[in-house]
Amino acid sequence: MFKKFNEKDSVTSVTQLRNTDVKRLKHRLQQDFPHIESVLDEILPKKDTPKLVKCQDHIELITDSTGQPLFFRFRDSTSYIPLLRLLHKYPFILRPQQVDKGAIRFVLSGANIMCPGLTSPGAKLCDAPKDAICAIMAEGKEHALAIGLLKMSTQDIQHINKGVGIETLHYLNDGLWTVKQGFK
Amino acid sequence: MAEASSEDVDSNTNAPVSVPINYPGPRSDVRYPLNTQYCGECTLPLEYCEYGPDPERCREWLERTLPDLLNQMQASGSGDDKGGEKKRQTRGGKGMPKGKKKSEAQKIILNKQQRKGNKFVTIVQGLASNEVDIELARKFFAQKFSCGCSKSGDDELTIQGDVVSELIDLLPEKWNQINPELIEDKS
Repeated sequence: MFKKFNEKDSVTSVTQLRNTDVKRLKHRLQQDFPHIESVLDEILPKKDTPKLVKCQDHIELITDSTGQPLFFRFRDSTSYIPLLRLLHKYPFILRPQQVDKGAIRFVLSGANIMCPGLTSPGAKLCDAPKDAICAIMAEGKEHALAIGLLKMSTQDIQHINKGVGIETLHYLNDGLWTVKQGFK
Repeated sequence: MAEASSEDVDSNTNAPVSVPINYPGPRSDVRYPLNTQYCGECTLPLEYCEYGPDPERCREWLERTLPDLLNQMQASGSGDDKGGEKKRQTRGGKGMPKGKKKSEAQKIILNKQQRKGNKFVTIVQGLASNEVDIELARKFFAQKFSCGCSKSGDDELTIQGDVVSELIDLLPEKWNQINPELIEDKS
């Protein structure tokens, strides 16, 4: 989704979040990612005013006051999704799904994750319903390499074992990862 | 479904019923936030450097900046599966896009245009290719010369007033990376 994202051209507006919106956002995050609660104040400090960055293609980003993006949301997603940099700091936010070694290079070029890459011996599945957001880990690696949306439940992935299992939303070195300066 | 997962839920979590938690939470023996070491060359976490656009350069960077870590990785890393990886590379998949080449520093062209009467504007071209932030430069010029300064093109600044001779001295002084020989006075 962020393959062609560009911090200069894709942004349409940057506004500060209102206090009520911040509250709503935090509430939402707690609901969607129960484990985030203990570190939520570290991610979004009380004194900091987060910003809402609206981008093309109905993408919204939440950034901290310096403009470093923290969460993103797109048209179909109901929840805010943490960025990889944030996930590397707090890896427990999302449920992990592990792909095997051969899949890494394809994921890193933005491919969706096919079921066989999730069911082979090097992979590990963590039970999740359809449409859950998950972190994509890799065999033998410590850090997440992508964030994805389950296209079918993990049980289906194991049974059907064909086609796209996880849609890759955000991966290492895509347009969102390479945002350097932050949004003003 | 919900019943089955409720057994897995840790006793200390009080999550809403709609989202079953069956994945591990924060580990009590680890301090968060984790500090992930990123590669200065390809910006990926170090362990993904081998999939980056130019693993060789990442390695050099690592050798330069963090030699200890490199030794650690070599000790624990697996050098034996490298051959297989190479073979697979020819078989398909685009892999990582090659990193963009840094645009070579181009000449900075200073030009003067006459407006009405004895009034001039100075046009500066080629700053961005010399790794100068155009927006910052614009502000700086406006303040320095106390005049209007505007961005008139992709890589072009228009400064009100005749400041060509000042610029020739000022540019290399303010931005160290600018080579004075690259500055060309066309006025």
